[in-house]
Amino acid sequence: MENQTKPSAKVVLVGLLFPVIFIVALDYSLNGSIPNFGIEELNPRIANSALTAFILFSTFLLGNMFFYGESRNRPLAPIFSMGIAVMVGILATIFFINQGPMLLEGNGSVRAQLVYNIAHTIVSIIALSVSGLVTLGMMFSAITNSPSKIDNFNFAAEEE
Amino acid sequence: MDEVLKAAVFFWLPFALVPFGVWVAQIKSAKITDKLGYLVAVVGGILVLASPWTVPESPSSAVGQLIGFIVGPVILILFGLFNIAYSGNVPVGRLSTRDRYFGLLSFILGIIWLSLMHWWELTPVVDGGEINPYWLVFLPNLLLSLTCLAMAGGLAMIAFGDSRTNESKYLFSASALSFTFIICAMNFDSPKLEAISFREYVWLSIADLIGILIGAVLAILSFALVIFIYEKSIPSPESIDAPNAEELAHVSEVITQNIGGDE
Repeated sequence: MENQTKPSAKVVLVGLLFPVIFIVALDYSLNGSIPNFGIEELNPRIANSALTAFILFSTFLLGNMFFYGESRNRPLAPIFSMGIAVMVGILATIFFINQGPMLLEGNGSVRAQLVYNIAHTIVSIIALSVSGLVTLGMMFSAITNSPSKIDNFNFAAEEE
Repeated sequence: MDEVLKAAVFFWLPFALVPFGVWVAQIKSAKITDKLGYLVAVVGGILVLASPWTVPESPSSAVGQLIGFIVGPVILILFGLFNIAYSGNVPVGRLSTRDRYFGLLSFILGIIWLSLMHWWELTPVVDGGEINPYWLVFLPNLLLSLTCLAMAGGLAMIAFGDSRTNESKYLFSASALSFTFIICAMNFDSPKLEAISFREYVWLSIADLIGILIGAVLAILSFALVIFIYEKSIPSPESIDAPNAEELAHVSEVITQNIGGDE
């Protein structure tokens, strides 16, 4: 039997974050800071992205809530509750964008910023989905194209 | 027609039809909704792809243009991976060795096509010669997430799999290649984009991914909270009497009919 130490689930989580930290550190060490670009540009992006992602994911989960309701003889209560969560997200976004130029990323109006946020987040989610599919595809390709782990001789012996 | 209304009718409505159609197709209570749902989703998708022609003045149509540009290489890559995966050790529906090489060729062509969209003249540009603003969101997000997911996927194969060290090397290689692409693009100008601009978009993309993570976690938490509160409000089911002799005999008969096999 192969006796090797396996990485834990924590290492997998670190592996998810490590490349981002490494890219930031390497870029900062090689090129220094970017002129006229800093936390003032990054903060609105994080806030807009979080608010829009909340609305989009809540809307998606609202759709799932319908199936949950269907399995529970169609009670409308959870659908209404999730609808309220979506409304809270939309109202919070409008409220924060209305507080002045804080969350307006070069867009002239609240409506323009809202539309830009949705389009921006959809494109980001498409990019995430494509990379997820490519990773899964590579994983399955690597597994199916490696020699089978089933020992045919022992398998046949067990069957007898 | 008013520009805003035109954008709503020719871009946002069709865009909303895609997830709506997929959602309708999942409803099991009526059979007709299955085909109707997919039809609605396909029509919505076609209208989104046509948006650069139907609503060229709307900035949102740049999303439709971006999807049109990336659909080719993405299909090649995914089709390639599908062929490679199903030409290996799969119990049913195994493809031939020729399909594996064809898949490998498709995958490599897709990757080269996507790379040339940054390093050559294939970059999607909107009217006026400027780079499609959503391409500058898509590419850094794709590369960053691929670097992270492939790295985590490789580690997960070792952590949760049984002797999968050799297979995990493919994922580590993909992560390293994607990482190298990002670092090169952050340090060398491409024909249409300066390295310093790409650096800005990578940093914004990191901010984007952090925001999406926060938003998604909050949405899932509220979803879980709604279900938790609702389930708690439902009264616990009443206890029923133990089965009587007649019911037990019926159960035994059903079990006898369903166990065993043909001799």
